[in-house]
Amino acid sequence: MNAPVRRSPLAHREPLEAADQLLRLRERPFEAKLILRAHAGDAELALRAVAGLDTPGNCRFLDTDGITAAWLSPDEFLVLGAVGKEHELAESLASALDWRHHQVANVTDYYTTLAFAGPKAREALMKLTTLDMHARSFVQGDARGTVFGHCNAWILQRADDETNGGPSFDLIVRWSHADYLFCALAHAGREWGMPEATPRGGENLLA
Amino acid sequence: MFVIDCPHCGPRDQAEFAYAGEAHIARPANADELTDAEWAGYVFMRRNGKGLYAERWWHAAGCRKFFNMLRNTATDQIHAVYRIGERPPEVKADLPRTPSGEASIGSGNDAVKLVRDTGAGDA
Ligand SMILES: [Zn+2]
Repeated sequence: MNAPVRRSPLAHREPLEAADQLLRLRERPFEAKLILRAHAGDAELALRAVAGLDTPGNCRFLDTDGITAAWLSPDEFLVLGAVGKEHELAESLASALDWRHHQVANVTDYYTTLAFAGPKAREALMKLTTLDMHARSFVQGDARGTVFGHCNAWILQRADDETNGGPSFDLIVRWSHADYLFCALAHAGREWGMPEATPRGGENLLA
Repeated sequence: MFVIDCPHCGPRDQAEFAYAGEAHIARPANADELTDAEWAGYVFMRRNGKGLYAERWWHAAGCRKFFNMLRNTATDQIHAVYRIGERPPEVKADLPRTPSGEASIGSGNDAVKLVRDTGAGDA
């Protein structure tokens, strides 16, 4: 019998870089991901007890000490943590909520994270989505769900536009869409010297 | 394409939303007493009017919440967005002149508008 191996959805992909670091794309696999569903007031209790975080406002995220809480909908939050922390995080959220009506779902292996950064990252993303990605409209701390090319993803802006090396974005995408989105981002960065990548499944990429 | 103002997320492109049919249709409380025809009426029959229409929309790619919208189906003008459980607000709408007239703005039939501009097709 083979030893159990944990394989990320993009294990077959190398990190990509455009000329002069204008764009940088890589997967950050296995980071802890939980969906917390609870009434906003209860979620606030739990997030404060577990991470010392306030509840993020609509379409925003907050982070501290490697734990991120992102607003997904009025009663739903995405809680992100370091690799291997999902069980500990889930337990402490659940015990903080105790008898209150809630649900904590471990979605660590349901989604993966794509880190997309660089001075041209914003412009490359604009090619794939109808979301207003202008620097005036989407800023550091924003978290939104939308459509990129043909697939859904959550997008968080981590580093702001003034950061050395440009803004950085995390895209939280479903496992089965990760290869498509990775290749779509590479394809969108082609004009800035991003190496081409083609999905293994042969899906069409948007030009 | 049009922009929809989600009550939770703010203005987003239509591509993020899914249409979910006519709003304010209550499920019959006495379902076990209904005839097949009456049940089919609840399940399938919709007003499907031209003009102001109360409809449900689903922010499928964003917050995944349902909400209601008052939309002019002849022009795609959105008059109001309100939450599930709320009553539709009173609005003033530029309604199309039916059966052959078109509203003065929006995605109506251009051929009819041209005729109307000369006054010949005015109802
Ligand atoms: Zn929404």
